[in-house]
Amino acid sequence: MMPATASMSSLTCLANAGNGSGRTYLEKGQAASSLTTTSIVEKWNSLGASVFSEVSSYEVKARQYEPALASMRSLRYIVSIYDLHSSVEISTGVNKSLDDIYTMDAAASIDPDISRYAVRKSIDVVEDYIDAGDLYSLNELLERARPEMLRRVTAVALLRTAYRVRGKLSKWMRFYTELFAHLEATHQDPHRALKGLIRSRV
Amino acid sequence: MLENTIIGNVEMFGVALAQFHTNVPAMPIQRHAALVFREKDKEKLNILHLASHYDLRCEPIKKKYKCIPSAYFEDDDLQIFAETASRMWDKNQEKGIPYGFVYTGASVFNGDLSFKDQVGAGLTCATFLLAFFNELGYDLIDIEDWKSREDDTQWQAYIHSQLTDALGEEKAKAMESSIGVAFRFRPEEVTGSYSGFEGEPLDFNDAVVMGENLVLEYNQQ
Repeated sequence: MMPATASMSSLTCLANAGNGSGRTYLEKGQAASSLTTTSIVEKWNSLGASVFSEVSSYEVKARQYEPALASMRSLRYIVSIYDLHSSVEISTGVNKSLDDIYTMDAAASIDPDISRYAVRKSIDVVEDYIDAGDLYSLNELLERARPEMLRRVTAVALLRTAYRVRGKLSKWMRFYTELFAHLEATHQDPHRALKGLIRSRV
Repeated sequence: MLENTIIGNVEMFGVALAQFHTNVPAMPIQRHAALVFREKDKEKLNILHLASHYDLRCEPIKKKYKCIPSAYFEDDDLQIFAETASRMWDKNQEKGIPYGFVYTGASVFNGDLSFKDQVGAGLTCATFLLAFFNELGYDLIDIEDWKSREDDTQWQAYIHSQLTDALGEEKAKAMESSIGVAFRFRPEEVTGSYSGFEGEPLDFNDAVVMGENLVLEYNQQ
């Protein structure tokens, strides 16, 4: 799934890249190489160049995986290629953000004087995703974050900073639950640390 | 002599109250609420406060501000508060935050911590503090339980008259329509409630008592 929009230009670009040779696109998207990708590209190739010219004039919106016209249904594969390529980029970005948080936090556990830098890193990562409107990546980050790899303050900072957009983050509650369980298992008073985060809002 | 139980030292994060004397007979004393925090690696405390319409300020704390620590919040919480305040300043220092009386407890900040600026939206110095804590999951007071006081309208009309030019016609009208309707959350009650907060929102009566005690302490210093 892609986080942002699949704009006309990006789809047109894909079509051009594949015009006459699906292999061209596959090489451009090497990071996305997998059996799935290859399979998708083969289907894409089988459509032929004439279909691609139709793509460039067809309005495909974000997350619209199946075109309204039955004759254009094969388009969903093109969107899937874009998705796969994007998701690999997102995955790399999220992993890097998470690594940065882990690294800062590990350093802070050795030197408490830099604790606030670790907290700030956590807040900045979340705020930057929100600022960019990239809640998809933020959701991914919350899904991948491991509470047991973080100090309590850093994990709570992640959760509280994302609190105001939690309604748009399907993984916020998952992270809350995992963090609660971890704090409870390690006798770090989850009720106190996570106070106020579960309640109805006006 | 009242023992100081509310005013105290703040090392990393707290709130602060200031009191000003005006030359307006109807409003001889004005009070002002602020967040107070220390930036990383800085010695001096800063105050972050909504001074006026679109006038959010972050500046070194001045003598007339009395700091109010919390016995409830722990070091972990204070680190998160201080860094969030710092980031909030980064996001709002250019545009500022509009002034307004209506506060419902609903989120007032966009995802990026910039204020949701629309006609009728705005904060007072005190509701800026409430909104700050609310964004992080804490309600200092129970706003559902809040009550109007007789002199609220007089204060709101006074502030409106002071800000009319700065507001512009449309916003001045919107603010005028909230006079006597919007609840007033007083600076001393909000900052006092930060001191009295023990995990659950303070109800109206408790917040009022905290505010009265805080003013007593302030005036004895």
